[in-house]
Amino acid sequence: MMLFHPIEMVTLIKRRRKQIPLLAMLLPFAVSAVWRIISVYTVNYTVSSVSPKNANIWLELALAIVPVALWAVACYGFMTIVGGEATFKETFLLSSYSLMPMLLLQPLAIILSRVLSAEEAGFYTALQTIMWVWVIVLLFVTFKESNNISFGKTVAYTLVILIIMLLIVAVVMLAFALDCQIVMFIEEVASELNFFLR
Amino acid sequence: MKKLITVFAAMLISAVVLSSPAQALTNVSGSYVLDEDGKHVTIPVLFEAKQVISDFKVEGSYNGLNDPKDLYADKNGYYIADTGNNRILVTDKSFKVVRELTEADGISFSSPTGVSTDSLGDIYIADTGNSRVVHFSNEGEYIESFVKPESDLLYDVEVFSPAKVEFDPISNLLYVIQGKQFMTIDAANKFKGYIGDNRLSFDLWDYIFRKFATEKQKMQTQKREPESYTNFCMSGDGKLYAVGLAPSQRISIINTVGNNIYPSGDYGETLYESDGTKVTPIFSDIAVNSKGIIFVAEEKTSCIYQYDQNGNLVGVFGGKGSGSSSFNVISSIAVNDKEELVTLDSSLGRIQVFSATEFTNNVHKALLLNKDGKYSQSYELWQKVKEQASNYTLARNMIGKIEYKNGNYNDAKKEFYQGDDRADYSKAFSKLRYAFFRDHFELVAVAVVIFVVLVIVLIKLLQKYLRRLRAELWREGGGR
Repeated sequence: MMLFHPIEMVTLIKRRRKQIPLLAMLLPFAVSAVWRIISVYTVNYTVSSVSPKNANIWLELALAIVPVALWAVACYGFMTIVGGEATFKETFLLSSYSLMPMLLLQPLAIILSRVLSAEEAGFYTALQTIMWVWVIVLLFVTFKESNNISFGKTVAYTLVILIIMLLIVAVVMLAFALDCQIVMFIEEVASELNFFLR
Repeated sequence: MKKLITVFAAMLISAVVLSSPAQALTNVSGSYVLDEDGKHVTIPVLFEAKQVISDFKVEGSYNGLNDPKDLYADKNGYYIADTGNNRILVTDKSFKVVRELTEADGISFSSPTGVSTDSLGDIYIADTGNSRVVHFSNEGEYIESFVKPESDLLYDVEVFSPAKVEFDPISNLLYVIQGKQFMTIDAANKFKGYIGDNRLSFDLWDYIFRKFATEKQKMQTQKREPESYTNFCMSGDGKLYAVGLAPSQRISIINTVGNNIYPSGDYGETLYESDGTKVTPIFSDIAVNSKGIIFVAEEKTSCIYQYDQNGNLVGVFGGKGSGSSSFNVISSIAVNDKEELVTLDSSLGRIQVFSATEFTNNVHKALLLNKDGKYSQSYELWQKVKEQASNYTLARNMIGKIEYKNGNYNDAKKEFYQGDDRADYSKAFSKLRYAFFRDHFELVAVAVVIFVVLVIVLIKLLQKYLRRLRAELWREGGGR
């Protein structure tokens, strides 16, 4: 139902906003990650962009989960400031449900790729593009509906939220770098103590 | 407070778990090839160092080499341009100095950077500091010298400083690399033309700038010139092999008409330093062996790259260091008549002689057989190479191509997968797919029909379910 009638989905969720189970929020992400990992191994070599020998599992998982999750977090963070009507659980649930086209079309794309050669890679790319565009459209529509804002405002807010997403990524990388420094420092101190105590 | 601590602890743990060593410009010892992402794939040793010579005993003169910039090998021995000591050393095959040339026509050499001989044994020296090319006989007698030719076409050459020189007996011309120009001079010291002109590639920013800039601004910017050649060598069959700085034409084979017949490509490796700056490869010298394998010496990584006539990378070896099989700055390489690779290290002032291992000999022979079209013989050799190194992508690809020619598409496909050759894999895959369709058309047609019917049925069921759900919701919501 989400695929073709996202607005009704929004209404349904708002009606039951008190009882959103955690599993429902996380399951689509988990399934999309699983599909992503399977696709690394099963997509035909002719149309694939990563081969199993060179693929980085963290990168693949991140590509499957991070964009939409980051959108959900940034979206909620922004809308609380500007005065939206959606709670965090609702935003997150709607974002994860927006992944529905991907969950359904990705296996189809994998099966399609098995019969394609490199010259016909266009079909595979077209299917992937349709999938992602659908996901983005759903995100947009649910964003508009769940917060009850006009179309123009949605467009403007979307751009701002994209910038916020980049900022969040920058902050996380900074924190990670600082953490690495702390860890290195602790390691050095530990090795010096070790040397000293011997 | 508790939340803060949990967040901090999570970040700490993730930093420990996810931190991995950075990949920097690592010092590579041993031979390798490159896979499709540019990573190194180790292969068996390609060349073994046979000799290291750094002592050249000359009576009454310097004993070692000082910044030697060129090395030439012919059937009589070796010729070394000992640039820092302003002399040319002529040695025999066992590197004993036979002659030391320090002056010509009364003028001492000044930073001679190039030396070569022709088929008669006459020596040509690029006496860069004195702006001339000197011609000696094999016994060391001065014959003549060539200075800057009188020509209106050389209007932008102020000082003639020949860097590398070679004499081509077929066209009777002296080929000289001078600054950014690669020119020819005939026996009467007349300018005979440029060769191997490089094209200036299209640069979008430059085009936009020139469209909108005023004359004064254009005068202040630097003139864009095509990239120059750094070195060249002539092969026995009259072809001119040159290396230069042009981005997709780093290696070129210039035929007699002046066109480059070597496939354009990204030769060498583009490495990145630890702060992210790109390090483009600079080839300092090129040499060819009798089987047509091209050896190029690269300055930044101090490695020697081998390419075949079709632009495929055969292997890389070398590396920075001062032990054997390592170089500090490779200034020149040459192939002697025993098919050994002789290299000149200008920073350490020494010569290393490398002999090919059995693996390399097999690969070179197989490539030559491939070039001549003797596929069944080269196939056996490639299988031997594959036994020695199953991750050698060139061997896998060649075997795959031969299998493809013979019609064994399944084997070809497997070989191409191991050889990282996506385009050829796709070709083999299409042939297999066609054969499958042709043999099992009924199966495929039935499967497609069933699939389509299933999808339609599923969609219809889903629609029915959704309609019911929406009706329920509509009732629930009070008919909204």
